[in-house]
Amino acid sequence: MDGLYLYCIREKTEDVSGFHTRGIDGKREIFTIIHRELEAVISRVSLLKFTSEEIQKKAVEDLNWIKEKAVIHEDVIEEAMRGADGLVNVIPMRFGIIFKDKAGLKETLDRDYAKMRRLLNKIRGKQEWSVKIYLMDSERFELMVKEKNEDIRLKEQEMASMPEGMAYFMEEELKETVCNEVNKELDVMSDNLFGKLGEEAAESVKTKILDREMTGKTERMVLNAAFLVHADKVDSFKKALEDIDEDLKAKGLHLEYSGPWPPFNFTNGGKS
Amino acid sequence: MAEQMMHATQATNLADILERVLDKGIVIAGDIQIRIADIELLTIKIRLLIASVDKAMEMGINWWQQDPYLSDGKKAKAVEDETKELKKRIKRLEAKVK
Repeated sequence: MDGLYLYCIREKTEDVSGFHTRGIDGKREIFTIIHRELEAVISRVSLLKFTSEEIQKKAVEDLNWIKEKAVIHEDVIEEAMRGADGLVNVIPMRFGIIFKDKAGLKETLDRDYAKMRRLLNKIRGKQEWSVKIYLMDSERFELMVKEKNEDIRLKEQEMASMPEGMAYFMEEELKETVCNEVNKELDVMSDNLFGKLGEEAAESVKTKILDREMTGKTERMVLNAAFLVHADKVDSFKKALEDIDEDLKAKGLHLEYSGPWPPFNFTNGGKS
Repeated sequence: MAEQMMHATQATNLADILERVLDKGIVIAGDIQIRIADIELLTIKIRLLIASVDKAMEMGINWWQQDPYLSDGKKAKAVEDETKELKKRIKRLEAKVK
């Protein structure tokens, strides 16, 4: 028996062009079901397969399976976002929501109708942009922090005139102080930038700092954030990002941005 | 519309997709919800994977590097040798046909 895998709910479109992306099982076609003013983007999946222990196991353990399926999920939503005359408002779903049949799906759409409409109203005409800042050159940043910090400078001078044994302890202490100051400065700076960019956006949210294992980068991530930006402000937002990145370069930092993303970070209010 | 090109500005990181699809997005009550690893569990799993390879190398366990089918360098060499051997055989056969 087949079930329905749900990717996103979007504002009803007159779009009949169909999807190019294949469904979550890699085979089936994507199609939509219209319910009142909402359109659910779905594909059929084998219930037997997707409720199997094998899949449940893969979903927690198999890195390649997770990556492959997450990318399909994202690709379908991105395609659903791309309408004939610009971006369509979509509410992206978390991975892995399946309905047994159309009746069940429609019932849920009916029950959550007001909430969905509210979310669509909130994101209408806006786009999610991702901003990440990385520490590229920690030595340069550390040097900058040291130069600004009177206390550290004095201690370094003091240390130079100390006997070796004492200087050793002083050095250890100083290392710790510098490390703390560097972290403090990184925090203050990312907070400021987050606040500054937030002024250009309708909404903003700080997301989890990702570890190197996740980013695949050797550099440390110091800010991870998402911004919901009005479509007509996107150009000036991007300009602000480029300007900030230019400033950051001198300090050994680098800003990366991408978008427009499906508004994952601004539609999960009231999540379970 | 200019924004139709998705993520045109800079290369998209897989991490951007994973952190959204696995951890964010709305959860509505379906009949079935596949429980997938979240970003933290995924990070730990990748870390363990990397650690185990590094640890194995450290302990001198590196059999996969000797296995021509698992190690790229050796594999290339094996293919090269095989090609050479086949070319020789073709030459011999051609000589016979003439």
